[in-house]
Parts: sequence; structure tokens; C-alpha cells
Amino acid sequence: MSRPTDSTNNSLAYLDNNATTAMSPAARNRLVELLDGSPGNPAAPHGLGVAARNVLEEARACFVRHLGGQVLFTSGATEANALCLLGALRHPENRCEQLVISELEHSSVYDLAELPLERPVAVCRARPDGTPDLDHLEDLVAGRRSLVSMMHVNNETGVIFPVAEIAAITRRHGGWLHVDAAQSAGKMPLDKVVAHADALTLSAHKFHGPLGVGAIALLNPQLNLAPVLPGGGQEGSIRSGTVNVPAIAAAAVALDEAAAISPPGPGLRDRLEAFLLEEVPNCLVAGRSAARLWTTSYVCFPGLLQEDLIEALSCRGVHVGSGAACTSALNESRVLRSMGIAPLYNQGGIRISFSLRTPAAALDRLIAVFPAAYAAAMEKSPYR
Amino acid sequence: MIKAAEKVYDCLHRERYRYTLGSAVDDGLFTQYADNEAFRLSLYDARHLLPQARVTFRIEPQDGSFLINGAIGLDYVTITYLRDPRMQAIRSTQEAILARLS
Repeated sequence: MSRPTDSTNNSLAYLDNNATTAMSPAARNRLVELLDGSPGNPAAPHGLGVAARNVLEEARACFVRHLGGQVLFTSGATEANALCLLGALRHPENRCEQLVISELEHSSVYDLAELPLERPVAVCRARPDGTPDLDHLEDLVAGRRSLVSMMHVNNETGVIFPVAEIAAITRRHGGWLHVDAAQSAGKMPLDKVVAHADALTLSAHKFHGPLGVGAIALLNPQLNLAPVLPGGGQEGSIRSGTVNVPAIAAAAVALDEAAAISPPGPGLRDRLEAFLLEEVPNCLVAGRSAARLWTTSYVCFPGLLQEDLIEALSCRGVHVGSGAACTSALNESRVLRSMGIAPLYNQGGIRISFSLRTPAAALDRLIAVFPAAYAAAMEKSPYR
Repeated sequence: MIKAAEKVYDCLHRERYRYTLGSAVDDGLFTQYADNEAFRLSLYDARHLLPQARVTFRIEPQDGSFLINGAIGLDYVTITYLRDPRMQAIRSTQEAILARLS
């Protein structure tokens, strides 16, 4: 299937697709069609309830077709990650002794360590290339039945984690592996994750689906989840709450579409990085020595502050990201810090991220305005 | 002393000001934030990176409520404040510290 592109014009470029993507026209049409239709709670026994349930189960079958296992819907990847980890830790049949995460995880996983959990949490170190230190992981899981949670693709750097190796280490010590696939689902084949993980989680708005839909795929039927919230027992009595049927159906359309589109390869990303490295020779591309997904480039410019460059680009019609879209802290990126990137670089880092539908014109626009935006940001430098 | 305070950034999460001081930044600023338990001072020699060849510094409190960026020898510092209910009080405190510098 040829690649469709986001509608755009030459004066506007959206390059923050790791934060969220534009909904595809087909997904939007499905959403609108269902919103305009009759109401119906899929748990209701009457005819409209049955109709809603049929739509829901049709969407679930689509997710199962692509991911396998048992699929549960949530409100997004943050909820999916929390439910998967808390639910697995709490279920007695899993016999988890500890949770093991990496320094590189998204806050929805990393910040679980701050919660008063029933089990201890161990944090695996990062390597300078943005992958987890597998020797350290081996040490952490040795002799303890662990629930290991690691991402497939890092949301800030685009670095691809070695899921098969992580799974082998986890298995060798009798543990379970959860993979956060929020940044890879719909953008690259998930075969390795599906083959090696016990559970994966994702978010529909990262692959041109609607906001507000996440999913857990329980790939190993022996991994059990305990419910975290009490309620009506929806989603197999694991995730209570009325599910968002129209949005889930639209998410299934987006997943089908993404699976049918061949990933474009790193052409746009490599062209971007070649330009930036020539324009600002002392800039640094985080994780450049590791395998990275074609979607993402995190580039650090020493001497300026991230927000100044983002603002300067935005004023010129180019919208890029700040790494983790959810963060509001003053400190630099935790992920980059864990990779050993110096603060002067870290605080001047921006994330440029492409989607399946990003037109080349968006990159042309960035290249056209970057010199002026960079100069404007340097004007505000604390070190000028 | 503060000769001028200019707001240079304002967004949902933070505000940033550039304070022009009466003299160039030296150790006198650092002594105001010398409590290692309350503040973290880091110096970074960026003479190989920045066209103006600076030794840069950053000062941040443990609670992460503000961040001071600057370079030794410049006559200004920038302070970014996290936008929360304490922001005005924290800003007043930092401005009082800068005002006391000779």
C-alpha cells in the first residue's frame, strides 16, 4: 500500500509524532459514524447493547489478529502499563518477587517505583547508547522471580531495545516480561515482541488512531492480572469501566491501516540529521550508535535551552517535541542523563519525530527555517 | 544588585527571567547556594563548545523548584521557575539573594 500523507501546507510542519499523531481519515470516519449512531453500552442486554458489543468484539478481534493473545482495552498506554504491572505484581499465581525496570522507561513505568508497591523495585542501568545494560539486568534478576518491564522503542531517542535478549535473561531466571510498545506499534513489525514477551501494551493515538484508547495484549495465558480498580467487571473482570466503543473501533481501523503500510525507512531522519550535523557541527544525536527506529531523532544543541528552540521553530510553523511530552520538570531529560549526556547538551535537546504519514515537505520546512530559529534561540542563551 | 529583570520565557509549566547584575558573576554567587544538602551546583567547562568560550554553571535546589543557568564572567544569570503555588515566593527569595550581591 502506498503511503498516505497528512494534509499539510508549506508553512506548517508537524514533527512531534511521538507525542501524538493526526487521526487517519478512515479512523475518523469510523469514529464519527459510531458517534452519530445509536447509543449502546456493550454490557447492556438489549439490542443496542448487543450491537455495541459486536462492534467492540470486532475491534478486539482485529487487535488479536495483529498482536495475538488476549486483548484488554484501556484509556491509553499509561493506564495499560499501570494495570499490567500492578495487576501482575498483585496476582498471587504469578509469584512475582520484584519489579525490574530500566532507567530509560517512560514515566508511566519509571514512576511506579515511587509508589508504595507490595514488591521491591530494581532499576537496570542504561548504557551510553541508550539501551539497557543487560549484564546489570542479569545481576538484578538472578535468583529472584521478577516481573521485568522494558520498552520496545524509547520514546525520546527512538533506540530499539534488544527484546529477544531481555526475554532470554528474564526467562532464564523464571520471570515475566512486559514490553511497552507504545512507540513501536503500528510503526514496525512487532514479531519479536509477540514472540518473546508475556504481555505488551500500546496506545492508539501514536499510530493515527484516536486519543483515549490503549490496549494490553496478554500473550502468555499463564500470566494473570488482578484488577486494580473495583467496578462493573468489564474487560474480563480485569479493567472495570465502560469502554469507549467508538474510539476503540476507530483504533482498530488505524491498526489495520498501519499494518498495511510499509514502514518508510530512515530516509527523512537521516536527511534531517545530516543537515543538522552540518549546520551545527557540535550538536549531538542521542543514541546514534544504537539501532533506532526511523521515526525519531533527538538532537542536542549545546549552549541553548530546549524551550527556546522549540518556541523559535514553532513561531516559524515547525512543531517539534521536548522528549517526553508529559514532563513539566525543569531538569533535563532523565533518559539522556542516564545515558551520560552532559547537562549543557541535555538542556538543549529537541525531539523531532516522524509518522507513517509525514510528508517530505515537513522536513523541507524545518530545514528552511532552522538557521533563523537556531539563531533566535541562541540569542536567549544563558551563556551568550 | 539587580540592574534589570527581563522575563524571557513563559509557558504553562515555567517562567524564566534574565537578571542583569551590577557586576560579573564570580564565587560570590556560589557562596549564596553553598548548602550542599539544599542545592546542587555544577560547573561545566564549555570553552571547547561555545563560541564565546564560557565556563558554565547551573544551580538547582533539591526540590527542583527553580534552576539557575549562567557562565562565569557574564554580568547576568537566568533563573527558570517551575510554575506552582510557591513560584512567587521562591522568585522573591532568589531576587533578594541576587540583590544582595555586590
